[in-house]
Amino acid sequence: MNSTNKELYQRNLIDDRQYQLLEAIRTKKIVSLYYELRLMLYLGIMLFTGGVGYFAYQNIGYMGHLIAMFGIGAAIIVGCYFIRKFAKPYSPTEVTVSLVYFDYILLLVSLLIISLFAYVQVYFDLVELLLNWTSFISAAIFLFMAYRYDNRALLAMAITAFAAAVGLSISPVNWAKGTWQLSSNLYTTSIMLGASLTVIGQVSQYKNLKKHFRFTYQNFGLLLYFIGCISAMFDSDYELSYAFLTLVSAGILTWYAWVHKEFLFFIYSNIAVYIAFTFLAFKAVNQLGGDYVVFIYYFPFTCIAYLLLLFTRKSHFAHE
Amino acid sequence: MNKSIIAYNIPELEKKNVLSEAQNLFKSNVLNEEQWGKIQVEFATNLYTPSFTMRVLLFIVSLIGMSTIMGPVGLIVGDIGDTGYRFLSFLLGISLLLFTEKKLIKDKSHYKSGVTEAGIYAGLSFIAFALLGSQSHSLLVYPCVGFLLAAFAAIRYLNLTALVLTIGFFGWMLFQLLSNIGGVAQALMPFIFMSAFGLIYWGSKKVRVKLSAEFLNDQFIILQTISLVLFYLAGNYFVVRELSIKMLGLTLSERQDIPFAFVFYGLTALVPIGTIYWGIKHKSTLLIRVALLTIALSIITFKYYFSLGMPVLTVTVAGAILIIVALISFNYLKQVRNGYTREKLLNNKWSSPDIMAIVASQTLGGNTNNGTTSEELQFGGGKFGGAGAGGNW
Repeated sequence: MNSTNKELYQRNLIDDRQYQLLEAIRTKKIVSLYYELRLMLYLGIMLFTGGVGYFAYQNIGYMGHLIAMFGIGAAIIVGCYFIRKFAKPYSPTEVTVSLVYFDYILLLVSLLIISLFAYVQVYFDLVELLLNWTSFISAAIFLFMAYRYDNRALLAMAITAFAAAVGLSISPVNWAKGTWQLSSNLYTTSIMLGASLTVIGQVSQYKNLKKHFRFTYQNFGLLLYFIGCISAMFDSDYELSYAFLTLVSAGILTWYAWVHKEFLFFIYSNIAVYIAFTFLAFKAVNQLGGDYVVFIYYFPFTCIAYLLLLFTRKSHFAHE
Repeated sequence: MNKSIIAYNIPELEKKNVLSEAQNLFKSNVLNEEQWGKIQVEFATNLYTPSFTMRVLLFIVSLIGMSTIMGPVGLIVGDIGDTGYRFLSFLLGISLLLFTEKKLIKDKSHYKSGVTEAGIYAGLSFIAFALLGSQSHSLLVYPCVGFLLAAFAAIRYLNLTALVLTIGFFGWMLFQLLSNIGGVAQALMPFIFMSAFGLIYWGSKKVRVKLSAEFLNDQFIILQTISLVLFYLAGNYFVVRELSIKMLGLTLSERQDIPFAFVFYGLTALVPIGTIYWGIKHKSTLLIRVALLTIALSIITFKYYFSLGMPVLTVTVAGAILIIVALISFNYLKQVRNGYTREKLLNNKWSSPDIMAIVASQTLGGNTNNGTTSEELQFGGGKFGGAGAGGNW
């Protein structure tokens, strides 16, 4: 078989100019270092801000502190100069900036602002005073930068910082450790915050206000919501009510996500439905004083039945 | 190439490959809508692949369904003893594979639909259980069985996870074999590993050219990347030293170094430099990426043994150097030089702004907690992200 480019060209599906470009790429006449350079920049910013932050954290004497603060401040000012120079005016739609590393400068400046803020706090003994506000203020700074300069990474940071402020940690790192169940009564917070974020996402869509932020909002929102629901199911005294709440809300979401082909959210709600349904089934068997041996049949048969059901509508989720 | 080795229909795979390449070109604004429409008609394939997230769901559901099926079957047949269960497991495994191949792949044209993967993994796991049972064997038996089963899935079903496992089992097999032989074989282990994976890399390049099957691109990229990284690791001073002590029982007194330490110091330093030189010279992004990764690993290795005791300064300076080098390269490559450009030519199918946003929020310091100062977490977060981002190509 010919190479794809040649095949397309011979069948007249691409023109001369396109063929030449594609051949140049295939034969490595031209090679893009787009991702490599970006990775370097990203790593560099991470190491640099991390190092500066930690450096600041160590005690380095009276003058050292001031110099460090001024240093960070100066870096912020330089960064802001670049941002102001290249930024486009605010717009409720997606904004693309021509400067290739604009997003990275934005990220660097935002992180430096947070570093400086934390530094000032520690230095002037404001930690106790501001303890409950630190994460809120970080979230507010991230949120402002995210909306003003249209950046989804900053929005995601704002959401995680806000969740941290109300006591929740949304991080795959915790899930990897297997500690994704919420302790104490945080599940109510998690459910409320999750639901609000999901609604905010939906409102952004309808009001046409940064429509493309919807996914970030709802991804975090639904995760928080379902994790809250499931933790409550196993933890709280009102387990049955929470199980029904999960079953019904996740059921509705399943339907909504299916119709709108939001398959990631479809998976989230599917898993929640299955957990809630299995939980209720266990409770029912328990109530009837029945035989737990039915669960040996339950798992294979429910899964296979569900698969068959899905495949009756398989064209709905075929690859676009 | 004998075409019946692969369970799928090759012309369909080729069409599928053209389609996905063309879709990428369309998304990168190289093709216009009309062209993309025509290509979709000309290369229409009957292979059924759902969208990515649905594949995940289908995989989870069918894996639970298929792997728990032993329960009901076991209940029905009753107590048949260890050998009986192993035989049953073997039968189940074979039937799952046959079902996947005849029903899903041949009849329904499933291709990487999630269900096929679940069928292959569940089937092969049942077979592995049947072969190994619950008693213990010589340590060489496990990697051999694993290697054969994984290689089968990697070749016949073009499964990428199985390919990674195949390479892993191969490495384990080689390690076990050499340490069983002991003596000179054990002493030469790093060099035997280096030659083995060097040969695999070199051989896979030849085979790739010979087959010229573009639908196997992902397979070759993975095979070559892993072999190169293992080639480097086999000569890395840290790996050689630690593995000699932990796995081969080498004892070192204080101030004593491993035999031929200078060779491994040399390899640790020279392999990344050689890789980046070859990569830039031959314009191979694969080599350049592996080189960037190995350079980072080598720096960490040297810092580990010759630390100046100022890790924070090192991190900050390293970050600053990275930023400066990246910015200089950005500026230098404003125009195309020697065929290199900083511009994005085509979209990378692995990148998406949404995923980037979530990765960034998890690896950078947004995840601050009450009570702890954010600098501390930023630092920790940075280190964690560094490890993750390395494999992010």
